[in-house]
Amino acid sequence: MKMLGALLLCATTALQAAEPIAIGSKKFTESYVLAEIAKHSLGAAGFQTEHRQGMGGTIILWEALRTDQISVYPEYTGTIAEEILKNATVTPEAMRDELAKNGVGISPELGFNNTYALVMRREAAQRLSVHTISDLRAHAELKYGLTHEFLDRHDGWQPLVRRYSLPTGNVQGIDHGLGYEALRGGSIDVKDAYSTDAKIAVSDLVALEDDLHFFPQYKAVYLYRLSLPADARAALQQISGTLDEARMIQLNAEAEQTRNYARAADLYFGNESQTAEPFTRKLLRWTARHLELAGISLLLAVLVGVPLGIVASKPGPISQIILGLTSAIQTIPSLALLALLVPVPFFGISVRTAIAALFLYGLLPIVRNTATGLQNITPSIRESATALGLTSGARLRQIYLPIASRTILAGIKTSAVINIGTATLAALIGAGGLGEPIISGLNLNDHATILQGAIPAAILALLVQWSFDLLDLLLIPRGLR
Amino acid sequence: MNALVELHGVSKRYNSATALQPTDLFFERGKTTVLIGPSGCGKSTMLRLIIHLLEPDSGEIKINGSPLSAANVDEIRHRVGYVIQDGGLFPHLTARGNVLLMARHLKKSARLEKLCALTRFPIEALERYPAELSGGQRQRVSLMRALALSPELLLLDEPLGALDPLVRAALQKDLKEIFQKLKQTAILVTHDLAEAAFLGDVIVLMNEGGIVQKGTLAELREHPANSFVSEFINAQRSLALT
Repeated sequence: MKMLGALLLCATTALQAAEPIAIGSKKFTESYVLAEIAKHSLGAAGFQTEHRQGMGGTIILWEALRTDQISVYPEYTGTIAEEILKNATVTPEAMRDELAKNGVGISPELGFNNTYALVMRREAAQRLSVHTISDLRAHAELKYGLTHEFLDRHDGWQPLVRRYSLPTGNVQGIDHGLGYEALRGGSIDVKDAYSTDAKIAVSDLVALEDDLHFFPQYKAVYLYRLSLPADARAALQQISGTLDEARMIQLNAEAEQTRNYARAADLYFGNESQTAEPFTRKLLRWTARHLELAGISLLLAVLVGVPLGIVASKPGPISQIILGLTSAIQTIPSLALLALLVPVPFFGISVRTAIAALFLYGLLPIVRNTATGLQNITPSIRESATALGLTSGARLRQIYLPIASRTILAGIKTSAVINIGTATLAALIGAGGLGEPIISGLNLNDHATILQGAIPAAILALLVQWSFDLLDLLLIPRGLR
Repeated sequence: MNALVELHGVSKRYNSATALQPTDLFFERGKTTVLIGPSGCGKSTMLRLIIHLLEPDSGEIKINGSPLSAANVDEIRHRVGYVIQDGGLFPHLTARGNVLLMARHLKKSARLEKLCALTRFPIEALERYPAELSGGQRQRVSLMRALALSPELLLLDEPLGALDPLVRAALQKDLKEIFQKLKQTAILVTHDLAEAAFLGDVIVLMNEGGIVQKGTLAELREHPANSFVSEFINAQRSLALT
C-alpha cells in the first residue's frame, strides 16, 4: 500500500509541476459562466488557469476550496450564510472574518442578486398591471405553478403567502422545466424562478418586484484562497459591480443558446468570439487530458498488476485474497468509487482521485490475465526450465513471462479500453478529459455537446485497441503467434 | 566401483501411494542404463529424483560422490542433461535460442555446428520455432539443448515415446551412435523392451515401485529373478528377439 501511495504521489506531483489556478463551478449554467469570466480575467492578468466544470453542489465546492484543491469559485451570499456558516443573520464583516479563518477570501458583490422571484408572461403582467408581488393580492383568479422545492422551502411559498397575504386557491406543484412550458402555453400564470434565469429573457417573462423584501439576498461573489497572489485577487475584484441582473440573464441565455460558456464569458468582455477557444483546440485539450488520465493510471496498473498477478499465479490463500480483492473493486460502481475517494484527504476533488479510481479499475484484467497466463504454462515447460538449472528469477523472466506475454498483453489491452471509457467520468470531479463536454451536455440536455465528447472517446478507445494490436506484433515472440 | 550416480535407500511417496520403495542402485560411468517396466512402476520418479525435480522422502542420492541437496542442485543440474517425451522446448525461442539458453558463454557457432552434426539436425532449421519443426526435429533440438554443456550425465524420459515408428527407429540409431561417440553416461526410461535392448548396456526392470532385476537382456532372459521377469520379457518377445 505504501508503494502504491508513493507511485501515485510521483504520478501526481508530475502533474502538479506547473499547476494552474483551479477555478471550480457548480452544476448549473450561471456558475459555469461566472467561472469562465474569472478564468478569462485571471488569464488576462497573466495566470495559467483551469476550469473544473460542474463539480457538484455547495458542500463539495466549499470543501474543495477549504482544502485548497481549487482556488476560486463563484458563490452567493445567501448560500454562504445559510449553508456554509449556518447563520442566516450573519453580518458582512462577520462573514468575512469567518471565511478568513478557513483561509478563504470573499470578493465584493458582482452586482446581481440571484434569488427566487415570481415570474409572469410580460403581456399578462402589463394587461393586469401587476408589477410587484403585492399587486398579486388583487388577482385571485391567477393560476400558480410552483416547483416542489419552492413549495417546501422555509424561504419559499408558505411564508411568502403569509408575508404578502396572497390568495392560495389556485396552486399546483410542477417541475421547473415543464413550468416554463405551462407558463408559455397559458395553463398557469405565475411561477417561481431564479431571478437571473435565462428563460426569463428567452420566453419574454417579467420578474415581479419583491416590494416587501421577503426573499433573502443571494448576491453573487467569488470565494477564493487568501493565498492567491495579489495580482490574481485584484483581477477577480475588477469584476465586482459589473454584472446586473439583466446582464447576467443575457449571458446565461447566450450560454444556453450556444452551449458555449467561454463564449458567454467573451460576451461579457465585449469581444464576442475573438478569444473563444476553437473547437479543435478544445478537443485537443480534452483528448490530451483524457490520454493523460488513462495513460498514467494504466501505467500504474501494469506496474502493480503484473507483480500481483505473478504472486496470484501460485495457488494458495494469498492468491485467493489478491484475486478476491481486485474482483471486489471491480464490482463497485465507478461513480460510487469516485464518491468514496473524494472524502479521503490525499485525494479529494482532483486529477489524483480520477487516476486512483482508474488505476483500481485497471487492476483486475491485468492481475487475472497475468495469473492465468502463468498458470497455463504446461508442467513439461516448467520441468524443463527447472531441470536446466535456471534460477527461479531467470525462469520467470526468460521463460514464463515471455510465454504468458500474449495473455498478459490481452489483459493490459482490456484495461486500457476500459480506462478510456471510464475516464469520461473524471469530469464529474473536475479532472477534465472528454467527459467534460459529456457532463455539460447532460446538464444542458444537449445531445450535440454530449456527442462532442462521446464520439472522440469511442474513437480513442478504438485507436488504443489498434495500437495495442500493433504492440502485440512487437512484444509477443513470433514463436507464440 | 565406477558409479557416477548412487542411490542409497531412496524412497518416494505421493500422499498414500508408494512411488518408489527404499532403493539402492548404482549407475555406471560411460554406460547407458535403461529403466524399464509397466506404467507407474517408478521409473520416471527415479529420474526426477536424480535431477531433484522431486525430493526423496528418505535416503541419499550422490552424483560423482557428492550428495545431492537443495544447496548444490543448480550447479549439479548444469552438469546433467534432461530430455522428456514432448521435448519441453520453449515455444518463444528458436531452435538456436533453446539450445544456447544455458550455453551463452560458449563459442556459439562452432559448438552449434558440432551439435547439429552430432544430432543430425539441419543447420538451416536453427532459426525455426518449435511449432515449425517436426516431432523428430523437436527431439533432436531437445537433445542438443541437453548436450550443449557437455553434461557428465544425460537423463532421457521416454524421449522417443511420441514419435512414429520410422522416425523413432532413425532416432534410436542416432542416439546409440551419440552415446558411443561421447562415451556418455546416460539413463533412459522406456517401456519398450526392443528399445531397451538396442540402447541399453544395463537393463533395470522395475515393478510397483521397486527393482525386480538388473542385468543385460540375456541375463534377464536366461536367469529371470522371478515369474514377473519372464512374463514381461515374453509379452514383448516378438519385438525383443527380432
